Amino acid sequence: MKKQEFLSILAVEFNVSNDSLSETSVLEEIPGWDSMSILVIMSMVDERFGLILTANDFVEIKTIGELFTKIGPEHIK
Amino acid sequence: MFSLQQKCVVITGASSGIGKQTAIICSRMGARVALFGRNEERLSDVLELMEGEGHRYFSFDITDDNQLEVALADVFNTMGMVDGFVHSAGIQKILPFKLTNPEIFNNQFKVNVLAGFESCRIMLRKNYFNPAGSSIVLISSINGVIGAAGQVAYSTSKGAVISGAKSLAIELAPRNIRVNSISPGMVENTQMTKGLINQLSSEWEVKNKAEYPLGWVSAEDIANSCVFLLSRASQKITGTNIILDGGFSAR
Repeated sequence: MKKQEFLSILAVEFNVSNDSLSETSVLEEIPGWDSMSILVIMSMVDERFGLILTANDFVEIKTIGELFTKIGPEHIK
Repeated sequence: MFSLQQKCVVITGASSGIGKQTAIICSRMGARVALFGRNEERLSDVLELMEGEGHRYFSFDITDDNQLEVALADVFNTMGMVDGFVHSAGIQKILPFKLTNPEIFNNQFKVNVLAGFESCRIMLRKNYFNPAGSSIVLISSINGVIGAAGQVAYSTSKGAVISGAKSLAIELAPRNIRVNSISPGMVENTQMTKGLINQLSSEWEVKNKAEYPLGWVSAEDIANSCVFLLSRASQKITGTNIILDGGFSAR
């Protein structure tokens, strides 16, 4: 999957405009981010890539770019 | 009074967690136990841990009604009348409500609710239950009584178990079959709990534990209540839901 495609899906999930998200966006600063939002991302990543992320992974993942790194270049580029 | 001597008990979800512990303790109390689960290897491991003789395991998918019917017939033919049934099989998917589509509801309902009631229905139609008196125990959850974010589908399914058990209790009382549910709080060391901690963080675990005056419960705590509900000691208890949550919901 292309990074841009993932950003678009993310934008739909969080109901924000497409161009408001980039690799440098901090997850917690996405408008509407709340305690459930990590679960939204976990579910997206599981569904699209079959990859199970844990809450502890998100201690290190602060930005969308870091999320991409975690998902890995074999899945997203 | 609390003995399960001579009784035959069928347990779903018997390969791990609450079901596994219930199988072990039922065997210690003298019951012959039929273990239902998906993983044959794990079921045979549970069998190793059980006491007494006459236990059997059946590995299949309990959401498949045909396989369920075959397995229950096999239990009846080889182990005799069923005195107790414990529906412990359950799955949980933590998801924000906006992602909780009908498929998410369906998947959890199939295992948590329908497999349990369908087992009961098959055993009723075929007269597998011991007419001298039988007991059905359906494992619900504290989330069937109390809300939790991300658990709309799961708690809906567990609430259905509690209310379904009540109506079934009324309907089956004339046949001398008791029906009850148990609503456990967080259970230490089960796969479900581990999955939940993975998703919600170790911080969440510490905070959640602090909300349990007696601490999180163990699979053994729940198994003991199952034995009570299966035994003659609870002969006038039907249609009730035992909240087993270390005092979590007492506040």
